[in-house]
Amino acid sequence: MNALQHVFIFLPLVASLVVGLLPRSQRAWPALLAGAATLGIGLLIWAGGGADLVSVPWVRTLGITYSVELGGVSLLLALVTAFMTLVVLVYTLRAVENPGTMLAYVLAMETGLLGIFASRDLVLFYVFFEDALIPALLMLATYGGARRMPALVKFGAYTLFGSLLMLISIIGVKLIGGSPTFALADLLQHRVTGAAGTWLFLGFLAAMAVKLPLFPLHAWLPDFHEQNHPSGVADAMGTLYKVGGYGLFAFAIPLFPQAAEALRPLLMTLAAFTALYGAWVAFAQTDWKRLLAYAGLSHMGLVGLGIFSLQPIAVTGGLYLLAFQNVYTGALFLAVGMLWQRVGSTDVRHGGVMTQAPALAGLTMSLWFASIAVPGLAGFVGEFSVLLGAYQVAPWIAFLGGLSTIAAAAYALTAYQRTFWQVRPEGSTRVLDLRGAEWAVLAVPLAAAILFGVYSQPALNLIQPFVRSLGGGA
Amino acid sequence: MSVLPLWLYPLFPLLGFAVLILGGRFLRGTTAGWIASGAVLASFVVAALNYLNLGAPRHDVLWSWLPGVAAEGRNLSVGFYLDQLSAVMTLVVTGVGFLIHVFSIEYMRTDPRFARFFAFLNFFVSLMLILVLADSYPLMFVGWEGVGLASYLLIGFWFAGHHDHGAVDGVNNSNAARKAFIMNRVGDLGFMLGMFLMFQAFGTLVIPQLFEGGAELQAGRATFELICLFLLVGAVGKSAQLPLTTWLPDAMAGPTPVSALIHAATMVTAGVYLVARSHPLFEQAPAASTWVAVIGALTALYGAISALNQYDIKKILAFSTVSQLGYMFLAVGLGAYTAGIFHLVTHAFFKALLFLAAGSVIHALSEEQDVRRMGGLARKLPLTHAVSLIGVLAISGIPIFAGFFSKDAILAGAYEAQPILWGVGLLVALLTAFYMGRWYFLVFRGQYRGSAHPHEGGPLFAVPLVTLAVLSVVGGFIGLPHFLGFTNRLEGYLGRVLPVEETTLTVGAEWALTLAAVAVGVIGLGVAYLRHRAGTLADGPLRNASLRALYLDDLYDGAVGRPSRALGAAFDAMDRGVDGAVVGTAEVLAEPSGRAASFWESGYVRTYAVSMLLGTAAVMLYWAFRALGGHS
Amino acid sequence: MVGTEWYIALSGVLFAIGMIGVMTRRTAVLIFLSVELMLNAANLALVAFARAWGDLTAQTAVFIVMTLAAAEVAIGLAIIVTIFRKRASTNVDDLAELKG
Repeated sequence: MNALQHVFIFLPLVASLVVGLLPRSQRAWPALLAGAATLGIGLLIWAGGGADLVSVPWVRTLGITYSVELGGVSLLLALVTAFMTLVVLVYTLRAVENPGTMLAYVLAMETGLLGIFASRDLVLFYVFFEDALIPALLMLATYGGARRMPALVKFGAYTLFGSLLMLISIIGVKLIGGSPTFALADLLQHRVTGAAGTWLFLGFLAAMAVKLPLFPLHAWLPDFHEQNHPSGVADAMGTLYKVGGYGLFAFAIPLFPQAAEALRPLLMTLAAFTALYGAWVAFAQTDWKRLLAYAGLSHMGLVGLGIFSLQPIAVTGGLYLLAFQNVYTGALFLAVGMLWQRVGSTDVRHGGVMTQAPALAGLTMSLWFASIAVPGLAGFVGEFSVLLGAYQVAPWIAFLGGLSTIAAAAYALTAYQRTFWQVRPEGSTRVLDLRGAEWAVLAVPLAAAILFGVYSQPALNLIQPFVRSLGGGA
Repeated sequence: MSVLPLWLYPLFPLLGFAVLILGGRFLRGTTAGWIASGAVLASFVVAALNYLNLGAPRHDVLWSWLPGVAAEGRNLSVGFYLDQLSAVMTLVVTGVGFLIHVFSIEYMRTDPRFARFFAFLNFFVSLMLILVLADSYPLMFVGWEGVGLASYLLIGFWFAGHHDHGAVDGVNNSNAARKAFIMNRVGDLGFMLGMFLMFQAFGTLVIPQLFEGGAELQAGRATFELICLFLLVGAVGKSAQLPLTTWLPDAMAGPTPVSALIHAATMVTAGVYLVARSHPLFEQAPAASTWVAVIGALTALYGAISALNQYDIKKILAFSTVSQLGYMFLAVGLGAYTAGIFHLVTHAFFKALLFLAAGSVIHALSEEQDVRRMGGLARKLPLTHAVSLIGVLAISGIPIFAGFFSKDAILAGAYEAQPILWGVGLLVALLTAFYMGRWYFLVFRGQYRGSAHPHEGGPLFAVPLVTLAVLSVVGGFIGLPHFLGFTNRLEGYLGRVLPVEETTLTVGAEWALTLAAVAVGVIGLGVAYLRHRAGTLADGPLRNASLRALYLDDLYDGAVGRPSRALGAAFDAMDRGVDGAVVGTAEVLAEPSGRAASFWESGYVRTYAVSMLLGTAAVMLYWAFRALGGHS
Repeated sequence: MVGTEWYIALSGVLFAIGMIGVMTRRTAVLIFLSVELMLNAANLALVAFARAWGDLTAQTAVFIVMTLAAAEVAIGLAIIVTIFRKRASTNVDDLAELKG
């Protein structure tokens, strides 16, 4: 298993390079094969109980190590990433003209994401973190819409600015704490406390709040999604890239428990406000992709609420939500892509699509219900646990976050009915229903959302020991 | 015979749902309807067998589900719990549900999405069974929101308009469905908060762990009150009580069998069930219980007043449902749990009957719903007329019909606890009798005022209608009052899980109360008859105030809807503003350095030359100083 | 024999004249001539040093500079001619598009 995890992480990158070199007509199958193989290897690792920590020096003089481990939350998130990447690859072939380059980007990004989850060394984490950014930027630059350059600059600027502060913090943690290496295990032995710890925590927070994202550092998100290729391929990958919650849980909070504890009320308020704010702004959107961006922002607010609350149930719920919102939000982006392919825009004001494409509409609706946390679907397990746990810590903040569940119903159903219900305007193009692989692209994620909505034990088995090992953080 | 596994209950309809949603397109004719009905019938058989065999409550635990909310921090499992209360509920849900399924086969026969309709109906029944059988509050919440979801799908079943009513109809139906879901979500948030506080106070959300074994729950009075108020918010949302009541009349946009099943007989009574299920909590929370009763009484009055001058055959019944649900809340709020459940059961019978009769009328008149364009249908639809009359008499509280006994039990309980609430209840009974009389006379008596050619439906209409009519007549006998010397069988059965209060009223007082209730019923019907004879029945009292349901919708739109939309737009504008602010800040920070740099990069060759000169001079000066410094 | 310092002084004067020319002139051709003047001032200094130290390395450097200067003249004049054709002017102050 331990050797397999390196294959797991780097196979997509290798495949990406290979795909880039192959002639155009022969790129599809190798890419799909690589995606499937990655998921297969991931499942093998999961079946084998995860992969243990492997740590070898990388840059000896600077104390940088190559430390990776795939277990617990990391493994869950990595598996979800591999799963959704495969779904995205399948849909890329259907929806993107000249898909070769996009396939290469998607695979390259997968390695970055898997690396983020696997790394147990701060510098390595940083490297993967930035590594995943490059394909994301390239997707936007190569396939983006007319106003992609401002979106690109904004996305890059926010992310890089946050990352810079994180890099400074990473260096600071080692220097001030006096750890021999950047490996997480070493750093945990040399914790930085006091005022310095708080400042370093804020440095991490800056990067993670951009990537979570958290109000008011979210402004890149709607533009990023709006300008990306309308197929939703890049958006689904972008959803996977929202790793802020994981970074906080795995690095920032264990390294600076006191700072996290001290800032808890503030951060919880901010997160709950983000949840409500995102939902409310989503209500005013008329473009599906912007709407989904804000819906994602709202979910991430709840993820943040769970993680910042440092309460075991809420943290568990936050991570559950983080993992599975990828599934349904990603699939919803792809569903928007399918809608775009049929009606030529991502505007919500079409009307009556369900009368002509019941399968597309039905699957989209089901995914939306997963997204707005209807019980019995995966979103509920996470959201309920987050709110319940947060309530134990701070009832009023939980109430604030809970209001977002009402707002979520409002924005989702309003937009949905404008597109899929009501009457199809006369003279509009006839909408074809789903065909072939499109079924699988939507139905398989939905099946996952249902499965993990009613039977959460496999995922909880991965999350809960980790949460407990942190002692609930507090 | 032992009790059958509890997961069988929701399994059959769920399988039916799966079959119909996946394979519906391959089914021809009415096959889908029969599959769905068969699934519900199977559940009914299980429910009936278990009802007969049930001794001690039964608790089945299946697989684990939610993290850490069972006792001692263990993961909560999906599990089912059957006691006498849920046994009665399952019988109502599956029994009435089955009859309405059968009715729908005929009613929806020509609809192009026939199979889809039955899939949703089965989905609803399955989730409703999960609701009443849940062994924990979160699982009950699954059913709770699940039935809300089914209700959303079925209210919006004709999302693109029905028949030739076109675009406006589509928008209205869609809006009605959305409104129901969102208002329910408001209640659901209250339910969730109640669960959160309950977990904080007791450390578990599993119902048997909470209430079984006689263990007294330990918590402060304020905690109990707050939990119960939160749960009340949830119940208010689902049962369309004030102030979350306005979605239910709009929900009539759905097909009529849906109104009968979901918005009259079963789903909307879930709030009553929730309060009854949580009675150990409510008993510790007198103030919250009083609130339940007061809200119930006010809603009963509100519904009755709003029903006075409606013109839509279904809207009258919808407001009547609101009103009757208020009765049930009044009962459970005053601690008369068995009376509340009793009225729930009888109401399920006669209100489902009335709705199906309305469906039969609508079907016969080719989708006509305005009572001003009906009349004289007694001759053309004799069967529908007969069963409707039974329904009207039952809801008006005329003796021997089911509604008489249950309403009487509630009013007696109210008189004992709080005469003012009894007075409100009596007034509502009067109004009820009047508007139901108005409904009856406008639809069935006088001259036909429409232009369609009415015709009675087939046997698939007749069987459910007659069955429900029989139940509406005899259904009251399960709860005969004590003071007449009978034993109350329902009370005896439910008494094993619900508290039963011994009445302190004298037999004479009971007689007086009963006579008063019957008298107002007769007066109400009599006034309706007199105005019918006078030909002034079509315009009910209170005119527009009643027609527009006391302007509650307008109030909400002004006070909540519009501000929300405006705030959403403002937030959106602000968000672009935040964006601008951050970008602006970055620009301000970048400005000085950028300006310095751009001053340097003037583009003039000569300035570059000067720079080079200055640079060279600086280097030479450095070396010169070093040389002078004596390092060489 | 004239002392090396005189050559160096002449070189310095020539360089200064070229420098001032580059900084004050606005016509591309004259700036170009001034640059040539500076190059040749440097050449003169190199040759003078080579003679003073009896080392021919500097002389080779001078040859390289001269060939470079020839190439530079060819390309530079071609650029100036092209600019003149485009703009009907060789005033370098008009050519400030690269400012930041």
